[in-house]
Amino acid sequence: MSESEYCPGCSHSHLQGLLREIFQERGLTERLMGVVGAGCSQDLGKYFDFPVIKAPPGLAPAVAAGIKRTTPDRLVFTYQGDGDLGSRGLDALIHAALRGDSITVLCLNNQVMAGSGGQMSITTRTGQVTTSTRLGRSTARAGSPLKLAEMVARLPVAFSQRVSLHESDFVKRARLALRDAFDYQENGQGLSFVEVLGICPPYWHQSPEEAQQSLKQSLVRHNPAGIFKGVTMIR
Amino acid sequence: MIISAQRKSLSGFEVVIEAALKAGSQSYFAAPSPFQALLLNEGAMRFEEHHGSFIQAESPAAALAMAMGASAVGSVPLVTVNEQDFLQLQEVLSYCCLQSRPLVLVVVANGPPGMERNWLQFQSLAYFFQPLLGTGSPLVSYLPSSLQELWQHMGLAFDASLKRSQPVLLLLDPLLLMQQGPVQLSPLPSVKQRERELTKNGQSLMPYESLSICLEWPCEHVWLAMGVLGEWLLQLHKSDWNILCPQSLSPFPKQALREALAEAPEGEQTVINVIEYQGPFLFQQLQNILPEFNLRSHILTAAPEPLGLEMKLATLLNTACQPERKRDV
Repeated sequence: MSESEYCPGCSHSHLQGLLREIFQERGLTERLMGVVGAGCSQDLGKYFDFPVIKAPPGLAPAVAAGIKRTTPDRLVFTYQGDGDLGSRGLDALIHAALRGDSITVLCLNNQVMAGSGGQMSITTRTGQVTTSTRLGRSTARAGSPLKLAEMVARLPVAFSQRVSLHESDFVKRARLALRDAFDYQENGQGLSFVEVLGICPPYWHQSPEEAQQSLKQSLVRHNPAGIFKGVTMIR
Repeated sequence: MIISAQRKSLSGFEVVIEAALKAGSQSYFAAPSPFQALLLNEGAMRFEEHHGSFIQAESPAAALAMAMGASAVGSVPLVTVNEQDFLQLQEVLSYCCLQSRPLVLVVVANGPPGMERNWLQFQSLAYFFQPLLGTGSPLVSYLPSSLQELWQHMGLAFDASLKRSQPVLLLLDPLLLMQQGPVQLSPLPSVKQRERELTKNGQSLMPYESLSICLEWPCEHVWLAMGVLGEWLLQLHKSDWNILCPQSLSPFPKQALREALAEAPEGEQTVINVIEYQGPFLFQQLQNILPEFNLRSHILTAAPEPLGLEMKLATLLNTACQPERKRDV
């Protein structure tokens, strides 16, 4: 395991720590295969031993579908950011969900295009300051944000949940959600989607503590955490 | 069940799918688009019959992305696309090249991107060179000229793809897609249960001669054509014409060409008549590949047909040989 190269306070390292914990606990590492998209998420392969494929921007769910159909016994997950999943490759996600491919799609939603330097992304909340919306995102000029977990829940998926990483209670729930997501895949019940709300202190122009506070506020105002869809799990 | 009869009448699209199954491909991905859909219809049925995986993708880029994933776990997938969709694919194809994923990409050249019409007709070689030069990586590109060659080239493509661990292009003329005729279903090198071996680029890719030749010296004219046009020329059976028909664009069989032309009687400067449709695309490439030969470009302005081709070529030769007349204004 190498030293993390993420910024201080970044949610990527936090989420990857949770994933590592789950993989080791379940002993999944031999069957796992990760697919990453473009952006900050593409460094995933550095920190894990199982094969991680770099997909073309936005097409990670399609690559994962190809892997899953060819070798159904593997556990395939995509690890994408909100810019990659929501802006470039929403069609790949929707079609994978409609086809009922049993893959796990993890989206770290930090509400900003962090990999390219902090521009507005599709999930940037109204009023948020980014490098391309200096006065805050205005719905009149830049449109409304997309609510990913709610949107995916309307599709024929097995599981769709939004979790957050700002408080220990929420981190516990995030861990449970990630476990459930891989269980749904193991049962072959369909696509499982987990949207993880995270922080990006440098491009939110805040300290990590302030960023956690503003994530807490945005959770109440814009993006409620919760399970939006969960079919009965086969035990 | 794979067809086991040795000789069977098949259409071009059936040949592609049968050969892929015979070569041991396990997965097939495609998105519907005009004329290439023939392959999709056939492949969807045959691959599912054969317990392979098939996904009808939402877009050609997604189809290639799926193949990229499938080849990451040991399969050598087949992807078919349209010429017009190829531009959208380039990005994903570059990813496949950089990550050295073995897969076979069949490109149906049914028209250039941005063309107003989408007819099934004879295509200029420009649209074969475009996929070849687009990615920036030198890819192996086969260009079969008859159904039997298509069968052989499909096997070779899977073999070369696995050996070199890179995508291989098979450029399919739309006329060949629809053509029906007897095909000898000869055994193909199977990709199943074979360890992936990386070989150097210098390795010969064509176990048999990569050049269809009809050479008899002394002769009146030497012709060079590619694809279906080359096959038509070979079928003319003119005793005083020498015909060269290369079977792959990349790597180009320049060694075989030089050996074939070395037998020419001395003292004569052999003129190679390069014949093609619409523009001097092949001629420009050949000028770089074979600088030592005397090449002459002939361009057909109308789409050629096998009937009356001989007359057309004779007129082309006459106009080329006559000295240029001054035009009266």
